[in-house]
Amino acid sequence: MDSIVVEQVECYHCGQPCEEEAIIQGNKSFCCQGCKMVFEILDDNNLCEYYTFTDKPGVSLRHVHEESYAFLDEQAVKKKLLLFDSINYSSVQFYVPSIHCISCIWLLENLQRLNPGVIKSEVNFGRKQVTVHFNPAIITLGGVARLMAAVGYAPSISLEERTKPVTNRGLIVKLAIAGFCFGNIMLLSFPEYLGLDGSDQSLKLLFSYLNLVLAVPVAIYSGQDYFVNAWNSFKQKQINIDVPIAIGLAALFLRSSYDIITHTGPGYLDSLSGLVFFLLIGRWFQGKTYESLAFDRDYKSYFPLAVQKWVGLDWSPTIVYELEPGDQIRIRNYEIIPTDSVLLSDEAFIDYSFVTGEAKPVQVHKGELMYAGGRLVGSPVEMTVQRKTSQSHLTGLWNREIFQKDKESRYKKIIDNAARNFTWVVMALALMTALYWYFVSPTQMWLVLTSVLMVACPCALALAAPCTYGNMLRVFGNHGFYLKNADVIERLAKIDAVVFDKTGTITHGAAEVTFVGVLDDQELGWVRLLTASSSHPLSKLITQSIHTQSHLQVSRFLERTGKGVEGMVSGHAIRVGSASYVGFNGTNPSVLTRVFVSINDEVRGYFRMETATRPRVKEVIQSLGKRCVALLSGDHNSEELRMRELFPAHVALRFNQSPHDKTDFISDLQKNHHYVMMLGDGLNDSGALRQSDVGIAVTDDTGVFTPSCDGILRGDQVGNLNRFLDLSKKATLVLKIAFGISFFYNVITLSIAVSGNLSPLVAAILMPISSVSVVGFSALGIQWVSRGLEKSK
Amino acid sequence: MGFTWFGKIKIEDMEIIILLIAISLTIALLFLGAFVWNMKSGQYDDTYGPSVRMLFEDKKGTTKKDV
Repeated sequence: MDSIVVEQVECYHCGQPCEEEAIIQGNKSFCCQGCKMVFEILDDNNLCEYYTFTDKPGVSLRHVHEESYAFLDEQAVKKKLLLFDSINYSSVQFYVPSIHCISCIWLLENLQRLNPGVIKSEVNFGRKQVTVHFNPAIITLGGVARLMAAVGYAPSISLEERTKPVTNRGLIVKLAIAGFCFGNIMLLSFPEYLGLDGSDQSLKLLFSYLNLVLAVPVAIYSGQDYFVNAWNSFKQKQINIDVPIAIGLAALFLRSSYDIITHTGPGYLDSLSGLVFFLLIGRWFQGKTYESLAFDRDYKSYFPLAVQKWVGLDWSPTIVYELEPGDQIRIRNYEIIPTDSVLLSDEAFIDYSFVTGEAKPVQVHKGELMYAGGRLVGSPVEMTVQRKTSQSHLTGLWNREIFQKDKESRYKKIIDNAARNFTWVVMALALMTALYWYFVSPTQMWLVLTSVLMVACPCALALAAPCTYGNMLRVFGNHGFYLKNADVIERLAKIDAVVFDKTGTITHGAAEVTFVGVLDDQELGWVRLLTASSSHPLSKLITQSIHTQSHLQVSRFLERTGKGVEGMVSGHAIRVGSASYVGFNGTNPSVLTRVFVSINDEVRGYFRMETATRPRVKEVIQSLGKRCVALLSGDHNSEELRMRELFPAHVALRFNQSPHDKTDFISDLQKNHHYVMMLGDGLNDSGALRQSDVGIAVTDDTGVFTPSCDGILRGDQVGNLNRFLDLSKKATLVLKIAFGISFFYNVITLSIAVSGNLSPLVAAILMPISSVSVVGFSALGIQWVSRGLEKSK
Repeated sequence: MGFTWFGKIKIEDMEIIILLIAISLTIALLFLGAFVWNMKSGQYDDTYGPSVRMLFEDKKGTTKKDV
């Protein structure tokens, strides 16, 4: 905006532009000390091959804070984390969110070259997991974590999330067996359809029995889920899509067995196995999940695992859940306050941005209460614990009722509704047919009845939903919108109220600093000299925003707590700080954060700090129109005017909202029969995300903490929100048309079955055709409705 | 028709088909078994990693010799 950067220097390690002064070493430049240090470690250990696999593969270390991992060497923690432990051999599995390329795999699998204590390490790229086998006699568990953190791959450790591998291995085995049997049964059925002459009767029999043998695992093993689900829904006195499927499968299997054993026909086993095979493909397609993303995290994965507690004579790491009121703890720079506590040190700056959305650090004095979830900025402080971790002001949110119940259970799906009506109609039809044939030709009754039940099996119907929503899920995923599962799309389509959080959702986390007033480049350089010497968070922001450098010396530098800094640069007295400190007498029209500058007692202007709004937010809000209902911010109302420019008058702007207020606001909307979508990013939105019908977490980096939600939206894609909402509506329309197609096939097959003319060949042709056409239609339909979305990187 | 095997065992056409089906089914079952075994032992858990891992040069041995 203000200055044009002539030459953009990119960091050799991470590829980020070097915003401040680049650190030059040899012919390589680095954006920060962290990147340079990683390079040096790799260079010292002959690991520079790392840079050959991918260009600039590193992870920027600018926003990463150091962690000591000392708590990992506590016996209790170790016991929980280690997969295997002995005197000279241990193994551990870490989740490393920053794994993203080939170089990452290579480096993490060569950890033994950095430290002889590491025996072997393996990366699972899809899950972003690293399994490290090490010798605890040479390197401790904490040492392994520190080693990984030192090269830019800090493991994210949580005692709760010992996730068992949630793979669909079982489903794939079932699918493989169904596919195998389907293929063979079809092959063995061909002679029958093509017509064998009478002399080959024994061959015909043999094929039939072989088919029966092959169909047993399909019905009993591959199809077992449908029978189990149907039975469960029966017990709950509900009818879902699995009930007619189970009835159809049972009818197919029993009727075919009867036909084969009594030598009256070849049976419908190819239809049966084909049906199961297609159904399982649908389930597998829908079951795709984003393995590396976590949708169910609560505060526990955000909070530190351990803090330094004063025990007798020394500090020792203690697990935060074991803290008791009255314990004395110490928190270091960039650590999270684990529970509500009272400050013992003189002062501290706490960044509550994740809890309240307030971007500016808050100053806390001795004896004041600090709330859990805040991040300490500055030198280490000591404090006394007031409450247990689970009972703090913030974590109390998780004790509310909404967190106890599974969200999915609150909703009835379209497919279940359709299935219920479908089942009743089919049952009535079957009964009527049976009655009719009972009077016309009683011997035929059972045959016709089973045919009706067989063709009524709603395979195409059951495939329509997974295919349509599964395809939509993939399209969304390609555009930075990751949903927890396909059911969320159905709920998205119904949304008529959208509620936004402010910080992190509408605005970026990082503050934008602009200078208002008159200062030339040289003078800006002087100001930078002053602010660079101060550790105050606002000074740091100003330092980063000034790009001109001055190589003069500051004399008589003085930092006055709570007021500002002053000093002499080449004979000029410069003051940077609050209005009263620099002698500014004018009025302060807004409550915006300002830092004033005076040179030789003459006020020259001020730095204004404001957070930047995300691109295209205004467009989205406009196109949402009446659907956009409110903005809920935990922040104070200093930015109300600015937000009012973005939001039209009917949108409620609410500031100073506690996490509980936000949750209550959502549930009030729901009581007025609104379907609410909440977009948020922080811990304070957790309750609201959970309460809303669709809770979406907005994040710039999918690796970092996101609260429990139904979907994760990448920050740069917020501008597409209205498109996503429209698309889910269209997807639901596609689904309904697909339902129509499958009903159409059902009507045809049923009318054949009712008249008693269903031959195995007709069944074997019609059933796959109906499934394939529904799958094809929904795939093409989704492709067509989403054609307008430009592919993002 | 039919043919004799080593002049001793006479096999009819139909029996050949039965024999072929038995052999092909057995082989197919072996492959299915192999697939299920691979699946359960976790070979398909990470489909990206191995594809790049094979391109890495294994320098573990050589560095020791060099030093």
